[in-house]
Amino acid sequence: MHSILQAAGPGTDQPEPIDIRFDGSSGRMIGLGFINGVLKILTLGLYSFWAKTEVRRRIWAATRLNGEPVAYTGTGKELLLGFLIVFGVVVIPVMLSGVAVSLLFAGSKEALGLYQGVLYIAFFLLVGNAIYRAQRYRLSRTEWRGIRGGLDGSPGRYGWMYFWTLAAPFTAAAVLAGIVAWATAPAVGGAIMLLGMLGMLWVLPWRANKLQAAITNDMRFGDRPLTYSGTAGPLYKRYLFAWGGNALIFAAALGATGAYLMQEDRYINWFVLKIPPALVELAPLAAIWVLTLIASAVVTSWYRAMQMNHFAGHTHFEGATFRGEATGRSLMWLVLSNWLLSIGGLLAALAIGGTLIFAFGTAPREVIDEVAAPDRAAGLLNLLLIMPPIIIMTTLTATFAQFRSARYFLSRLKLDGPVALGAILQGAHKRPARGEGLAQVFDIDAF
Amino acid sequence: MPSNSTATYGRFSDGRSASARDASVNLGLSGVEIRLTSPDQQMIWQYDTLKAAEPVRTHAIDVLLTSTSQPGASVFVPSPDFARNLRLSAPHLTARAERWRHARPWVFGSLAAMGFVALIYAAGWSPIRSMAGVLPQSWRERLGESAVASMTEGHKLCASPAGVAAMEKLSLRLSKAAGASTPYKVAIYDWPLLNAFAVPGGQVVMTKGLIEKAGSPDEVAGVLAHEIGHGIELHPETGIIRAIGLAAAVELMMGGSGGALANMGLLLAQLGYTRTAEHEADLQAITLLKNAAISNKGLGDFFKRVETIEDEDKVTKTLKPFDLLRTHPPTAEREKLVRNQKDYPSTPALDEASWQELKRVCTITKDPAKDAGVDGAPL
Ligand SMILES: [Zn+2]
Repeated sequence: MHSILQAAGPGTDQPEPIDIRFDGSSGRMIGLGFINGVLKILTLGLYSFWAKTEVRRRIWAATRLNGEPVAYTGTGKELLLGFLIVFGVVVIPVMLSGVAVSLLFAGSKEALGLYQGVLYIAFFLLVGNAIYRAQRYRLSRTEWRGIRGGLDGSPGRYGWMYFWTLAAPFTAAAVLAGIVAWATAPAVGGAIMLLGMLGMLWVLPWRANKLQAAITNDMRFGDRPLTYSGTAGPLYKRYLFAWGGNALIFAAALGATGAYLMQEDRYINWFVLKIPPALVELAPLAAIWVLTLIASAVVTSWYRAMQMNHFAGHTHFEGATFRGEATGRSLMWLVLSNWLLSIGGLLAALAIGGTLIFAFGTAPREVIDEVAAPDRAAGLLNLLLIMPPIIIMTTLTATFAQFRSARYFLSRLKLDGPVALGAILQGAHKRPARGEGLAQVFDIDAF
Repeated sequence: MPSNSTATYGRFSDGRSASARDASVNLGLSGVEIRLTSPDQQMIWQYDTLKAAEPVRTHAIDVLLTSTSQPGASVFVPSPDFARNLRLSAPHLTARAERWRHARPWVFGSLAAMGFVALIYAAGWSPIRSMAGVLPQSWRERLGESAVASMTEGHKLCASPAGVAAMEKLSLRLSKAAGASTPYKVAIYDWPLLNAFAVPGGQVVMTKGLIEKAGSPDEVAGVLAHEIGHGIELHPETGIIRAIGLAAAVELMMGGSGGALANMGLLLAQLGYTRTAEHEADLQAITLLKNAAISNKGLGDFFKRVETIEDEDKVTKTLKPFDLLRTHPPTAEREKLVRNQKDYPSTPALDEASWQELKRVCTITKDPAKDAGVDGAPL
């Protein structure tokens, strides 16, 4: 037992190498996912804050630095409070204003459109802010040998950067297209807009690098900062393939969707006559787009692996430098297998739920009969039968996939160079009192 | 109380710097005993002050402990035996104990909430219906206009003056029978679907398909009476409040962005009535027709017609309208309800000339946008 730990004496300031490992079996997460799913159902969803917390504690504790675990010290209560505050400050006012706009400008499409436009811009302005706050909360709840991590900067600054680095190129493309359309013909303007949108994707590596620099330079472990030295240039060669591949994939998907809609008057039936399509008719469309997203994720894997290594390779701490060992192929398998896992889990849940409905639910004739919809009580019973398998399965697969992703990235992360651990003292920065409410509302808290 | 007298090797950090010291750790009677060498130092962390970095599993190979009695400090013990014995001395650190401690209040809270809701409904009180009753009339009208605008999107309003006048006459006759202060506003849309629905604020929408398929003015009167019946029972208002409440609950549970609620039209388009609501509307319709001295045979005939169309629909799988055909009590049953009513003296719902005008109401159409109040500036 002694041998796995670095035998350093008390309080030595001698620099020592840091070994990063991830020791955890993902099989054990299946049981945890199942229990969390059941508890979520029993508590009408409220347990999800504690479920999330336990998953994090397991992932953090599986991460070992020189054999000693990293600790996650956040609590479910903090997450719940953060969520409730954002619910009161953001979600409820948005809901009420939506109802108010509908009432005041009854049926006016322009008013609703304007309202939704403003809402989307406001949300987009908040997303970066939310990401930063969530990251700050998680780092402040991350400890190793009792020393906390932290993020010492302004969420507003990061949020603004997150916004303008995308909004500015978009506006520029739109303005340019507008001028061209005015000077020549609307069709030319439209073409320029399309090209502008495609070209705009080229800001993404630059933007990712800029955002990574901003957040990394704000990071602390104890009283010591992390620094970032990367530039976007080296990212572009690999990006060319991701961009081209995705353009081809999405063009094919759009073509297939268009061809399918044109067949058998589907477009006319659905969009002009407004006849709701049958589920069977939607299945091919769902299949096309699921395949497209999978193909896109696969093609993007090589770029993403390279970007991850780039980010790690330019992150420094106390004279040591991180190193990422992700590869396109391994990342592709991770993404693909996690997708298949989620889809398989959902299908299994639907099969179980369908069997339950068939056995205990409303008579199938009434369910299938599209003219005479089942009455509400029967619908509720069917919902009660199908929801538990879905909640349990999605919680289970999500937990499993999350653990696998963490293992993937952490087992491919190295730190080159010794660090004088004894010299790192507890930081003086303030800990945020509550957890990441905003990020939970936007559903962007991946871990 | 198990206590292994042999000390276990551990690593102690005081939380002031990122260094660690060797320690010997022991499970004592009242707490974990930690002994440090050079300089010699001994601490006891009481069991009930302990926290573990992750729940201590049966097969845990190590454990990272902190104590509320010494904030910042932590001790890491890489020993399966220590972890197993710790579970016995400090059972609150096990996964089962932790989960139940966190979930228990919410499990009981959820049970209590569900019991409360069940009790309210068992007592026959519908809180949503009561809320619908106190909505101001101007709000109802606006909600109704919103609903009409989003549901009839892309269809023109039928506007032949004589046809519109005929429908107004029929609506006035039934509204008077209902004792309504203002007559129900009926809009006919140039829409081949066979359909009719009531929206909040005393408004009813009918389609060209319905007028064309109806065999007599009494049938149209029967359908209108049914929709007015929904209006009297406040079913559209109740449906909207229920939909908003449901959407809010879903947002709360899923942690959504609230964007779904901004599109009221979408909400309104999903409205459907329960079996009970349809029955209530049918009963209202029967009373209304009687008070207005219009034969209820028309309503019965219409149900018969719907039944035939339902059968056709099952074969052709086309044109699935919402309210009228999606009525939940089987159509034959509803027809029987109407047929079982006693006969009473009645006159045709409309004279022959007006009926012919009503059938031609869609020969002239106009954009609903030009009809002030349906689409455009606030009233
Ligand atoms: Zn009805």
